[in-house]
Amino acid sequence: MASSSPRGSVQGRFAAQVALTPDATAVSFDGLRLTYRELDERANRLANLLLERGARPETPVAVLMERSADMVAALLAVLKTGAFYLPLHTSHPPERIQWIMDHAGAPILLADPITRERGLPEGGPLVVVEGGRESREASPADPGIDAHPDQLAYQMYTSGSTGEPKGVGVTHGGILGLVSDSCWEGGRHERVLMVAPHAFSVSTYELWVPLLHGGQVVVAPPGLLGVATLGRLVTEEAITGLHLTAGLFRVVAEEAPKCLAGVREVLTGGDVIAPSAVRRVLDACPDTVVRAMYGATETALFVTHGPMTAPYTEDGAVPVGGPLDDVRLRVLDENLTPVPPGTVGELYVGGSRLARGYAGRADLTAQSFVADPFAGPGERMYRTGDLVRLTPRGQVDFVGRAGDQVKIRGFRVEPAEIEAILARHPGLAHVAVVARQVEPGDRRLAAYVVPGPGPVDVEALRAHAARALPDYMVPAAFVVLDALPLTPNGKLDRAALPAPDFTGLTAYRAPDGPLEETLCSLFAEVLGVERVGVDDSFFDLDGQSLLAMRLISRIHAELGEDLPISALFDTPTVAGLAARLGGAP
Amino acid sequence: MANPFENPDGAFLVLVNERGQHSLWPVFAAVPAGWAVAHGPSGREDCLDHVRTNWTDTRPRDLAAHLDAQH
Repeated sequence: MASSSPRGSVQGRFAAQVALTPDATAVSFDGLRLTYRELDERANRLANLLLERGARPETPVAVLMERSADMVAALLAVLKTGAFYLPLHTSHPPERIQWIMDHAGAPILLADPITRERGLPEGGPLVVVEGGRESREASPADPGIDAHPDQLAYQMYTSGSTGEPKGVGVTHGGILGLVSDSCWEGGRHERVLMVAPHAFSVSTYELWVPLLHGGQVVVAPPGLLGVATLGRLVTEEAITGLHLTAGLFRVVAEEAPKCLAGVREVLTGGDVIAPSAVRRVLDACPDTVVRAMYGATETALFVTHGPMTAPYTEDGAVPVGGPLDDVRLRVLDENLTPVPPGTVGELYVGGSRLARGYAGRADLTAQSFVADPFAGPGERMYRTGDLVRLTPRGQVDFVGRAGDQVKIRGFRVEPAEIEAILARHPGLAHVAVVARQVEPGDRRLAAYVVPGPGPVDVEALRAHAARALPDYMVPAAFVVLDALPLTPNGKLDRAALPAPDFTGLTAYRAPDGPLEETLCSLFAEVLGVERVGVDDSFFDLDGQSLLAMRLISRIHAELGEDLPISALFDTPTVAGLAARLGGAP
Repeated sequence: MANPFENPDGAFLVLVNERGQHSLWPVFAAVPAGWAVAHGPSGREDCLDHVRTNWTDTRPRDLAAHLDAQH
């Protein structure tokens, strides 16, 4: 008989914690502090309101909210009704958000005043969460609804190869398996900084590890954080643990590694971890543990961990470590036979943390969550699509992705999904999307398009992609070809595709004066391109959030000027920033 | 490395366990304990069609029974 997941529910464990530490701080945000009792009462009232609006077990409640204490209360409230939360990424385009709402059957929607102002998708009943005022009339009593460990706790959407996002259904048992892991012992994650978007699976660690252990979630302000803000929060809030994606970890390591000095443990992962970044952080913070983490939304976040401490002298790839508790790792060849250590195979993961599958996609579920021949009767294992090798000591070395899926800025991306979206644009005969390595650790997407009978408007195509896809999935370059090159057996010949031009499309205008010259060279350096004109938009040149943080940090170092990241969003050109800094004509 | 589950020309089975969970399975590998053959051997698409038609409630069977008993 296939095993069930660990006992209990997230809300049940939280209730037990409230009884143990009612007056401890549970969550803080922007000067506001809520104790466990206060957070519990806030969530109870909202849960009772949601029950009136129709929330039920095994049904979704969508949450389109910015990071805040209200958002933490909202996610807890959803679980208290027995329903599961469906977090919607606030920076995703409205079209994608609406698709997910439709796919989920127009569920109840929780929003906040900021997201309401921006415009909300259509769906079921709407509740705008506003510091508890929305549920003032509701009862503060715990609704007392428990959940079976195999019930869904959340459903998160990731890139899918069919051109549609996939909703991964994670169970209460999956979350509790992660939270109960022995790797969290020792109080290192007592005060955790929440920096990830709630629609990103890392939020499972950021929220539930502290909240189910009597710790505190310190919620960072919404939007992108600069390195300076991150450092200030870590110091002021005495953060003991946090997770930085591999890309963000590298930026912090290069720009301000000392800001992590008070932190007991920094988790990083989601993409290849730079050994130089680990060394810089451990040199600057010899008392901090850096822990490499590996996992997937389909496995309720992490499945392996590899702690590293000073002095760090390794130069090779950073292994992602060994399995967490109750996680089974299999490295198999194409005949589903285990390979010996040192040999590359595909990683399969078993254990009670596996997601239930993909919502409404039994076919995808049956090909990704497959029978496990190496475990108890009827058990399943998840096919990660990652190529790895085991070291003689059982550590997992990440080698790359199997198949077509790629990682862009730490996100798994199916080029086929982008191709399907682009193909909906009129005037295209063929389209191919491939990831190109610009420099080690920096992959960008290029779209190759073959026009139909008439010409193709590349700017309109780019705008079409930006309306339908999250920013990391919008190709950084579009190349128009007469035909796609094919191999003799009729497949796309990737090697024969011309190298794309990742520089801008705007007519080049040279800098005028020393300030613009400095800014142009900083833009070019951070973006890794030869030259940048004063009218080129940072974001058209594929300047994404991590590069934006780096640019702001470089401007501070070179010019002594403190700009908020929002300045770059408001005026993403050299000309615009120069005007703002007061030195331009 | 080609993944055996992705082979478009491969021969497959559909397996089902006691909880009603379905798994695509290549015919060349032995059927793991606790799983029964529900369909096949057949082509990949035909097996996935079988899954789409027959696995309409992806809740594990024991969970579905537990939830239904509560209402």
